[in-house]
Amino acid sequence: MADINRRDFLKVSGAAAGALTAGGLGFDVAQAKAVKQTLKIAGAKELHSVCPYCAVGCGLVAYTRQNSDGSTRLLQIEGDPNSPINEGRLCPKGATAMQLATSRRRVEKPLYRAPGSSKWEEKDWNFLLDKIAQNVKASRDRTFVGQDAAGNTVNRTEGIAFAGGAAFSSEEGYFTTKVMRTLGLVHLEQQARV
Amino acid sequence: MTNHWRDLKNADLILINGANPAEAHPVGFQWFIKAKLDPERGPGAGGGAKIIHADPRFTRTSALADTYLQIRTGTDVAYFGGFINYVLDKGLFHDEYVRNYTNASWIVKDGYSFKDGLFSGYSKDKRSYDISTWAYENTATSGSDTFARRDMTLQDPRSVFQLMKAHYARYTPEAVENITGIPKADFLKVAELVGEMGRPDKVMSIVYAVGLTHHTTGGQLIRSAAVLQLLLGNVGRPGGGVNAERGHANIQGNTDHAISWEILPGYMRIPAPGQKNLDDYVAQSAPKKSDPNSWNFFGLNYRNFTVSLLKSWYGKGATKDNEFAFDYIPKPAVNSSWISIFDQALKGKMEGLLLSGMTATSIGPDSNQVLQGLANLKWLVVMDAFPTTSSEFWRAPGQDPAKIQTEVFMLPATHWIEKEGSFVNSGRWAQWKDQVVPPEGNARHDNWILAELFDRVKRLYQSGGGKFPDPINAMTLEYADPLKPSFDELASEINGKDLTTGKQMASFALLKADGTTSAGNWIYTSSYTESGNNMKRRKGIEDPAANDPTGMDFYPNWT
Repeated sequence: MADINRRDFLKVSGAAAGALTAGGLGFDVAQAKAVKQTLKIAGAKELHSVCPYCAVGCGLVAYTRQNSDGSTRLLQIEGDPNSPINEGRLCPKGATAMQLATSRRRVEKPLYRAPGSSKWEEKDWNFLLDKIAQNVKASRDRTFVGQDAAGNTVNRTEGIAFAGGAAFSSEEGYFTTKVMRTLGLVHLEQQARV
Repeated sequence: MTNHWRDLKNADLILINGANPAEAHPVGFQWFIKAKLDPERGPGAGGGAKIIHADPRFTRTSALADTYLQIRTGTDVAYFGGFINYVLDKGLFHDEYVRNYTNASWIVKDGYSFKDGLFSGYSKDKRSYDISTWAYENTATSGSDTFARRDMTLQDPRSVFQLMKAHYARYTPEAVENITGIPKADFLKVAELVGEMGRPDKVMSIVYAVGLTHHTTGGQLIRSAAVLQLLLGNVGRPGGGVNAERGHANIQGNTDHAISWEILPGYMRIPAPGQKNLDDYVAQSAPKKSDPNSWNFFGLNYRNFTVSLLKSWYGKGATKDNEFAFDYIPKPAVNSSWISIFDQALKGKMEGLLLSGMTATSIGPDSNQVLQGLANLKWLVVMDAFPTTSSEFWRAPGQDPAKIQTEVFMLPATHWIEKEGSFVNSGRWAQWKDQVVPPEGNARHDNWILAELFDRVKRLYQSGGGKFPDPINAMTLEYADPLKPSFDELASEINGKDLTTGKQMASFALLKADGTTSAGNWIYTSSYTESGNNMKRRKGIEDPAANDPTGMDFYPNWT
């Protein structure tokens, strides 16, 4: 059989039309062709991503297709065979990353829990953002220290903290640091500490 | 990592401490196995690299290691110390490397000592060290530089080399056995392999994870590994280095961008109270060289990096006349890290907390403390795609919601695959990811959430006044839509610009302290240049000859 890799094999065997000759693969696939199996990802858009789990940074290839209503359907996530890091391989978590992306456990609406309440209320983004902004300003004004006891200019907000970020993009992280330091936060932490 | 994942296949010997990569980083672990299966690698005549796993537990990594050593938790200082002693005692260190490329030849000043388990300068009352004696003997001053005296023969009893030899002499194989629990004979078998790694044609890698960091002595544990590697000449070589296996998809990127109380993006220190201006700040923070031949690029560029960062953040609000807005940066007085957040909350001093993609109750060492802390807050914001033990804390088992006054806001955030942007792995490769699917339903990107929030806070200050709104008013938002900064715009800002031409900076070496350059993070300067987004490059293993011409696994055009 001719020396052929998995990717090329799938490309050839997925061809819906055209005679497959013995020369192409080194053997006759006429019988297999008779089964007429269409690849799940045939005609799909191929994009690149990186696994959201550990810090190996496995390359991912993600396949999508547009639905008739214009929405995008995620078909498949697999390892990127060209990545010098994982060479197409994925661990059980990476291999099932699609489950993370499509999980129905995700929070569908912005939610608000009032003080002392035993339940969530569905609210819109504006309601929540306005209330949070008021809280931020009030807490900042109450706990801001401009000058410390020794007369040093310190300009710090002692009563607001931020924690997190290991799972979002660097660009979001940078913006977080910029905003939080601008608000005067000194308690700025993420998973590295723990 | 000083090196990177694929590079591990170049090692002759791999020491794994406080880590279980076969289970926790399985795809990365393929490179350890490749080294093991490569007949060109390995001690002696080769036949495959050897893997030594030192861990309190026998795990799947242990099962694949050539030698498993059961070690008592947190005793790796004695373990590495034992190898350091072995290597020094038998003269197996890499002589040329140690002599020329480490501080082994530098003379330590009189006054430094170590006796009965304590270094010089210890105050019993303060329970801390005055470290002024922990310094070199100086020989000459040139400008603001003071150089250390050196003895290239390494014989001077006050040389770092000789002091180190004396210090590590205590870690005999017997002492190692007593402290670590590793039988002396087993330890010596591994020591012999380690000793061989000082040869210029051999290279060893040390790999670790939270088994070394999760200790109050974590810094010392890791530093011991670094000292050993420097003695053996294993830093700065393929297959070598001191390699942390980090835990999250982008912990490295966000560490670099300083979501940490004590640093600024690019690892400059957060300023301290008492530092009145940039001169004070740089004088007290920037590393200084002790050798005339030392490049000290970080110390040399400290001010350039800091001013360029301030220009990114405060733009026209950062000028020569106001120390480039130096005072806009908050100056913490005390440790303001993770533990402090909940400590302060328990004391009623922390009013609000924002969490993103991280659940405090499940990640810290004391869930109960966190639950109590969260219940003490006035408000809690959780930005996440899923409900978490933190967003739901107020109705956790054993909690009485009626008694908990915390206002809680659950903001649905987007998944990694619903947005572009870069993730930086443990090997420090910044890889750009495409936006594969649009945000689902009501979910929003974290940067859009924060931009909206910031805008509202700013308006409140503008209409109602309040404490020191200056930084808030000055913060740059040079985005097509300030409420929706795009990932490209942010990446471009992080890279930095030449403010006189408007062009992207090509290199961190070109950053200046006169306000003519900006860079959100000098480490990433040249990631997003005039020629494009370098983090998007994908020249990989499909053509090794073209894409990795040296064959040393650099793949310089993959990201």
